[in-house]
Amino acid sequence: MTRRSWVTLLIWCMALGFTAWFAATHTQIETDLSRLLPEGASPTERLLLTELRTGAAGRLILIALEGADADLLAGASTQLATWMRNSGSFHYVGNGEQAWTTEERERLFQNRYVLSSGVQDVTFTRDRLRNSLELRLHDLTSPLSPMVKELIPADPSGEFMTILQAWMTWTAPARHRGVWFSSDLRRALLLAETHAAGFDMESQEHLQEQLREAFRAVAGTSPGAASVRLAMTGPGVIAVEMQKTIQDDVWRLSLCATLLVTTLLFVSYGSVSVLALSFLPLASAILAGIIAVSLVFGFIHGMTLAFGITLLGVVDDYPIHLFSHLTRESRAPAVMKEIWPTMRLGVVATALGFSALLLSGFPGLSQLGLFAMVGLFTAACVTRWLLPHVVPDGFHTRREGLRVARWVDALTRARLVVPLIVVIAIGSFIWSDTPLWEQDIANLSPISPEQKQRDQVFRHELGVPDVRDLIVVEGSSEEEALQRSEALALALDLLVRTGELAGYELAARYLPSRKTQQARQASVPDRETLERNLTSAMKGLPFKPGLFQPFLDAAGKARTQEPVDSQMFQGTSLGIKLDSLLFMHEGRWAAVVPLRGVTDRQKFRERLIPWGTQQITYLDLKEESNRMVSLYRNETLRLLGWGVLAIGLVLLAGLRAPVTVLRVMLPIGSAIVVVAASLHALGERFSLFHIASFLLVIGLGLDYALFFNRRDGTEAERGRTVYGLVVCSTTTILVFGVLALSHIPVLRAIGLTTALGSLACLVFAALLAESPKKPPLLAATSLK
Amino acid sequence: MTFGKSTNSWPLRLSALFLIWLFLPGPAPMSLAQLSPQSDGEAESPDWNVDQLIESLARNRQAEVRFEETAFSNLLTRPLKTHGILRFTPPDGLEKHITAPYDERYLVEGDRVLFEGKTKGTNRTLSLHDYPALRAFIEAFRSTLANDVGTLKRFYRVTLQGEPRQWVLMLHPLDKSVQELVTSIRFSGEREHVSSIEVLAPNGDRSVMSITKGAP
Repeated sequence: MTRRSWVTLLIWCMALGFTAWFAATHTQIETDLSRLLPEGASPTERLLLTELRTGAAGRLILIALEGADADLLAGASTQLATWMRNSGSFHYVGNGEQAWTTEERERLFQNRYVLSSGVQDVTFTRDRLRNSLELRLHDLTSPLSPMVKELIPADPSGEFMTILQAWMTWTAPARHRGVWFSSDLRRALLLAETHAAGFDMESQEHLQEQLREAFRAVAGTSPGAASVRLAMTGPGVIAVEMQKTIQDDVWRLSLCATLLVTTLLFVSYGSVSVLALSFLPLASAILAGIIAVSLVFGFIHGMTLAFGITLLGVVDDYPIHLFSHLTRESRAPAVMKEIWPTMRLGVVATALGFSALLLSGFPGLSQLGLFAMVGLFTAACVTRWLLPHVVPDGFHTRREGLRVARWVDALTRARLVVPLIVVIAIGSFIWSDTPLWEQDIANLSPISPEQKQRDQVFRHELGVPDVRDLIVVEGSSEEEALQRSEALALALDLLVRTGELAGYELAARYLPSRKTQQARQASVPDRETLERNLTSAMKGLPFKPGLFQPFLDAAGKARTQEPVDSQMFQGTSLGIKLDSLLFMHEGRWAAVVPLRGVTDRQKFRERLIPWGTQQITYLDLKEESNRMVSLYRNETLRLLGWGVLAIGLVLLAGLRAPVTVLRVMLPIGSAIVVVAASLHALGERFSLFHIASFLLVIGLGLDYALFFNRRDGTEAERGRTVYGLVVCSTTTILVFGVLALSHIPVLRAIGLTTALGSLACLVFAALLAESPKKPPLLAATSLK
Repeated sequence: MTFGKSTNSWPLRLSALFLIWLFLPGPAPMSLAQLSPQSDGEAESPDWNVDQLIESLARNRQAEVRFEETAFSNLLTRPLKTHGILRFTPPDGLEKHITAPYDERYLVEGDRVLFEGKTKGTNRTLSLHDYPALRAFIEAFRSTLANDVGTLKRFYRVTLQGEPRQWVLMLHPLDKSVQELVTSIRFSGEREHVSSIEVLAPNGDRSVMSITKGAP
């Protein structure tokens, strides 16, 4: 190495260091998963996505304390809940204490005549009052009497009880010492709603860590509580754990893969400095990718970074090609110049493939596409213009690769194997029963079965089922949305009666529209009429005279009171519930109606068709999110098709020989068909991630096929080419083979697809390469 | 206040009082005169104690008894009467079935309580865990019938008056939250049969349930 090359290297490394520092200090690495989601095309879709991003359901944390006797657990629950309430990080903390404050009950009671659905025109007629009074007599002799006795003088028609019953749609968990417990008393239960959105990973992680710390403090201070365990679930908790699992896995597997690749490269080239240099293009590519993405998008997502580096694995091939072609006599810049046209073609074509990601319209994939493209070009440039000048002088691989080349060239005689395998592969597709596409994105989630089960158990015990079906009612004002949902409720009640629906939640149930409230006020008769009806109704019943004076007063007040608005519920647990059921979105009001127990979704959808015109939309969240992902998958697939076409055109322009283009494209096409068929036979269903991996396979395959079809002169040169290719593909297979061992479905999909794809591309490219007609090789291979 | 004089303790009362009255008559004002007369025969014979009484009650208890319940209420000008059947299903099932003048059933099974009102068309289940004070109360009842003096004494100060031929078993709750609901429960009976159960509430309300021997 000359002095000049040392200086060049030093300058480049300093530049890299500076860029790394700049990226580290100026790049915003996002962990909020929702930033990867698309914006949504229709207002309803946007509403759904907003709900998904920031909705109340996503902000729930379900907590259980277990591992000690019930009394200890109850104490710990109270302490932990107190800490949580004081922490200011939660909208709401429920553990069974403070269900309703006295003041809240008082407020409800005072507004009973506008809030109760029992208040109708007939409610205060003589006959109906008589009926009510008789029921109150029964109440007085029943075991329930203490509960209702004190209410009777002010509320003989039982409106307060009607309200409580209507609102008791949620069955609270069992209780012990005033706090919630599982029915077997083994777990104390808490339910909290965080300020931070469920997908805001950083805040969620921080919050959950604080919570664990607070718990440890609680468990540490109370005697005997050391054995108490804390278990949490909920969207935010699962997301954090999911991220951790992915990070752990990626870290572990990357370490393993890096070790393997380093060993392989060292064995292949026997030089530490060359080994170090081979990482230069990759490092430059990653940094350039990060800078480009943050410049365009304003931030880079952690997932983009992780998957992007994976995709950039392809650039490791470039320095390998260079090193493999170096000989004792050659000079690196000259060698580079020689192989550059082939490499350049490969780079451009691969970049075209990655551009499919850029255009997908899925922010996550767009970032990935940009990252990979910029990285690809950077690595190519570094390999082309920097690396040749810093390679140690006289470096060359000791292995000439001749034996490998001969062996590989011998393969060309078995080229008929390729169409045969492709036909078998296509046949296996046609005759297979396995669904082609993964329709349920839930299957892609890395949540462990235990975690899934724990979530279900806690949800069941706390009575907060995962909402799958909901109706969105829109209106230009709060009042309009409430009125519409009230009309809808009548239809839903019918479905509940026929059993097509188990139940539903409705904002108007807690906060009736002004119209409804005014109608109820109007159905309360004036004092004179009411008194007359009451006196007549009381005739013959043993109620003390004058007992119902409080009732007459309250009814009189109700006639003229201000209708109740959402202010009344502010700061109560019910207020939080209302906020999640009724809110403003993009200048319009939306009432969300979560449904329980929809028996037949298709039928239910049909039932709601007549309502469709009134801005009432039924959403099956699971289906909706699956549909959205399928949509993006199809979009990516379509773009991939265009990408392949573009690659073909670029190759045609570069190679100028249609036959050679075919020679390059055919092995890749065959490899993809065969790999897809093998994965399919293994029971894999294809998702967006498989398609992204196929993109990478195309990139790798192009590289292999182009070099295989390089017209190089000597046998030795060919040997070096083949040697380089074998090293390239082995590194790829090692890296992605390791990834295929991951138990995270997405990583396994990428690893398996790419490892198999790389192998198939190499083998097929070798099989279909132009058979060396010139005697030297032929003679060499036919040596017995 | 809207909820009457006991607004402050209303949530407590609501939860705790809920079940006390399951097997007992409704509240009624009670004169002191009615409280005192049976305090004769205080001397306990050494071989006659609570354990023995409860054991004999359990041994001779019937699966079903009829009851007549008189409830006095300060809301009313005259007492109200109901009739029905009480059932005990060992080890932890209790049922109060009011048959007249309307039909209502209250069934305790372990931790669950079922309310079923045929006349009103209501049907609800709740968990005793939600009402700890009531749970204490029910447990005490069950333990009396299930010969579990230990549990009974955990919740009540138990005193026995009279003699085997005619006795009075007084229960005074030990727990503060139960004391707010109930001053005392008074079982009176002859030999191994309970003839009446009276409950006195702190506000002076009283209820009387007289039990007819034998199944219907």
